[in-house]
Amino acid sequence: MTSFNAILELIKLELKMEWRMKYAIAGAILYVVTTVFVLYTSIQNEESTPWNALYWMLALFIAVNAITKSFALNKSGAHLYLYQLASPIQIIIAKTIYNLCLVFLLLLVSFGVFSLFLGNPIEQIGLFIITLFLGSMGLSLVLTFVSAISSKTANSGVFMAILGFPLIIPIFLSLIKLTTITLQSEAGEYLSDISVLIAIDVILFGFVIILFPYLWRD
Amino acid sequence: MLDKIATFASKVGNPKIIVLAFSLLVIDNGLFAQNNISFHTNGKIYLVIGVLAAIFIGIIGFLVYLERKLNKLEKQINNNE
Amino acid sequence: MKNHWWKILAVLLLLYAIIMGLFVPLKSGILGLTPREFKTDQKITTHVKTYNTDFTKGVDGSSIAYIKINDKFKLYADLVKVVDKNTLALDFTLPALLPSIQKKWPYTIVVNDKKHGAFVRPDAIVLEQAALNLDAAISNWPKQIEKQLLFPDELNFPFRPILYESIRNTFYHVPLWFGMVFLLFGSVIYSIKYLRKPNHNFDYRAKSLTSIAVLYGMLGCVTGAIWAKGTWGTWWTFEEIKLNVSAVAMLIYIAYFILRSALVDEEQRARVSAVYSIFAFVAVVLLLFVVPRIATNSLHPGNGGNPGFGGEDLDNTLRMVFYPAIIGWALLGFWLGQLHYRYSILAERLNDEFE
Repeated sequence: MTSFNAILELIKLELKMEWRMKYAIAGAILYVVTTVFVLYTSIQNEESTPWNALYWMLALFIAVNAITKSFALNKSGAHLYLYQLASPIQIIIAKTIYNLCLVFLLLLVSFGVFSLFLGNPIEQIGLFIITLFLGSMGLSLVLTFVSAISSKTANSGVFMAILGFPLIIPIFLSLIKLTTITLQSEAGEYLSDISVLIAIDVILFGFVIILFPYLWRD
Repeated sequence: MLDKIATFASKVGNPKIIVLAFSLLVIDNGLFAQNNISFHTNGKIYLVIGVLAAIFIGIIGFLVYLERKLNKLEKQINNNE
Repeated sequence: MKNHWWKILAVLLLLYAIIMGLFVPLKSGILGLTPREFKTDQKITTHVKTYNTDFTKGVDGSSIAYIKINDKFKLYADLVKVVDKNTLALDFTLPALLPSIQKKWPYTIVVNDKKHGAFVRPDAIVLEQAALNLDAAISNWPKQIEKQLLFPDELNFPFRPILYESIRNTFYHVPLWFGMVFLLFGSVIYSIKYLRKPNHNFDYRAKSLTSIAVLYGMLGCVTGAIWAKGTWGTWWTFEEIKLNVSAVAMLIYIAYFILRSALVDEEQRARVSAVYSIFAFVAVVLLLFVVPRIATNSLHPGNGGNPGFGGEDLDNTLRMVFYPAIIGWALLGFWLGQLHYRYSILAERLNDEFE
């Protein structure tokens, strides 16, 4: 019986600790809500097919996982020296380009694996590759920036999701829309959608460049 | 419904209820009877009242929250003096 | 008093919005026709049930009514009888052929008198003709005298089916969203100020304005849900893009507060949350532009196939109350934000003194 009481006490202690860090609970709840919401928007979208929604959902998680660690500071000498030498703008551009390549590569690989297991419904491969590239650009821009923010917190994994997912939704929806066009055999009206995606990328890039130096200060 | 309240009030004989019922009747006649509708027809005025009440509750809720924080502040000042 | 004029303005504008918004009567409207389906080539009588009318007083037999077949052809009622306060009986003589290319089709009905003005109901009466012959219909169309529509000189809000009186929520629900965007914009301004010159007061101002914006957003969700329940019949629908956008905006700004509470160092918290708040505002603006392009249909005005605000949905009388209401609610938000800000400043100063 005493061991049972001890367990109970431990649980109570755990609860108390958790309660003291209220933001951790709120963060966990928001994490669930945001993830389900993004899932829902991708499935619910009238234009999307299951393949499309699943693929981009997977892409989102791949991107988040690939980028989360990009600001987990490696405090070894060479890194630190390089960081002090370069300007913040150079650093964020370098990190974003690296992440862009990484995400683009991972998306290509997952596209291959996807077609292997689930079939390949894409009719216009060229347009789809462009979509992939623009998509990985947007994802890496936003997520690299968000990882810079969440690296300041103790719980960067959770913050990647709760800060990143809602910010990614505009890009995410245009990607799904554009992918539905690549599913049709004849080229539909895609120029306006591509230009919207490019415009989003450019605007976000501009703000990342302006804002990042303020994050980098410490 | 208001007529029912009025008859109920006159039966109970509580002056407060009578005044309340009377004022409700006046509002009812003045505001809605001229248009020949009441809360229960498809006028949907209850939606407007619901929305205004929700906003009112929200703002009052904010004031209560602020007041409680101010109370804490006052207590802090008093303890430190 | 000098620094408080905008609060007085807020009170006056809100009073104006509440009083005008609640007391200006609705235009008269047609609720429906019974019966509403007829075959042509006969004499018919139909009862029109109307809303917000009293035909027993002040109409003096000035009532006219017609079925609008299309822009060129109208069919006037032979006789308009008053049945009771809200009901008219209309007698029509339907010709055998209609100048229309539809066999069976719902047509618009228009009723007019000098007291209530004109009320129009599209798709109110269904007419079915036995055969289609456009030329014969036009040449055999009965000769009628064109009657002038009478409009009384009165201030009215438009009558919309389904909405009815709840159209007044335009002044209480919609301005909350506008107010939220204004408040967030104010918060972005203070965030920029903080980044240019790291002064804690700017951070507190930005935080207070964002709190009020979130309060407004939540109230917007609740009031929207109430309104939707009474008109669309559901509290919340995810098929509605405006609701999705507002949900995402709420998620973004709740994340803002969680981020703040996760950062311990004061200077860092102010800086990081200022950066996030600017970026988040950009994302919300992008969201407002991108998502509507993707949605194909919407119940809200201004999206999908629906006409936008400023088109048919917002007539001049509504506008007269709507714009002041936006300014009033926004100013009230800034007032609440100021109170919250002054509290935070006091709390900080006290903590500094007693430590």
